[in-house]
Amino acid sequence: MPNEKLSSGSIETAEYLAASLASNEATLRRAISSRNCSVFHAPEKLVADSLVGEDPNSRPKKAWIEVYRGLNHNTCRTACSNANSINFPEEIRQFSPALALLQKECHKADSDPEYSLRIEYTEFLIALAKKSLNGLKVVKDRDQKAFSALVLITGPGQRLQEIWRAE
Amino acid sequence: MVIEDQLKDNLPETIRDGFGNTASKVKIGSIDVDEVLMEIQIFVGIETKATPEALANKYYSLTGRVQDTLGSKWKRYFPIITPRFNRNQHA
Repeated sequence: MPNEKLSSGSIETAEYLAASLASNEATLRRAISSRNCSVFHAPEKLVADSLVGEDPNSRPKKAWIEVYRGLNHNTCRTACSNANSINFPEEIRQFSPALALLQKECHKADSDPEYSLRIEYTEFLIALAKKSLNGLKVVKDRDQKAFSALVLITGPGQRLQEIWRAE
Repeated sequence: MVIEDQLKDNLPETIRDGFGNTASKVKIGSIDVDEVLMEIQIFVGIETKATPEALANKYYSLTGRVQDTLGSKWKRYFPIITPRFNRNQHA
């Protein structure tokens, strides 16, 4: 059965690493990566739950995993950026800037040798991720489905999203 | 494409308003426009004594405020505001 708590678990890992007595540069970078994982697990789970089903006992397992793993992070971030121009609830619109910043910082932490991290900034990013994830949890089912369509559909039909949302 | 000077001049006040009383000083470090990704990355220095949680709470409104300041010409570009916090003991 898929681990349904990857998102909150990744946040806890990020907090643990940031609070570690050995919070040197490398540890802080791992904290940033864990936190970035957490914010992507959340939309992945939301999209899979909303399109395939929330109940692990009744949903088609392979289809759920396929949708979960099928979410392209860059496409997701771009789509989230567009959420600001659509009449989405506040929680989804707030998720976009957080996701964009967290992904940028994660890429730097993973690959830029000159990237410098301080504990205060790491804690800020973790706080940002936590607040974003808490916001997504309270989004209504109808908006979850609209959000799922937004982040999954990249063809011309994407434009119809706004019309659908307005109905 | 580059952001017009007039708009650049308005951004520190917009960002300071967004952070409210959690920031004592705001200084724009750099502004990079990525025409491929349709992003505007804004690096900004913030003098603050606030907690990370308080700063995170204020961060959410920034994007909308910056989009408003940049106006319709830049509406297709997504601003990514990257703060760097400076703990000013004398603030």
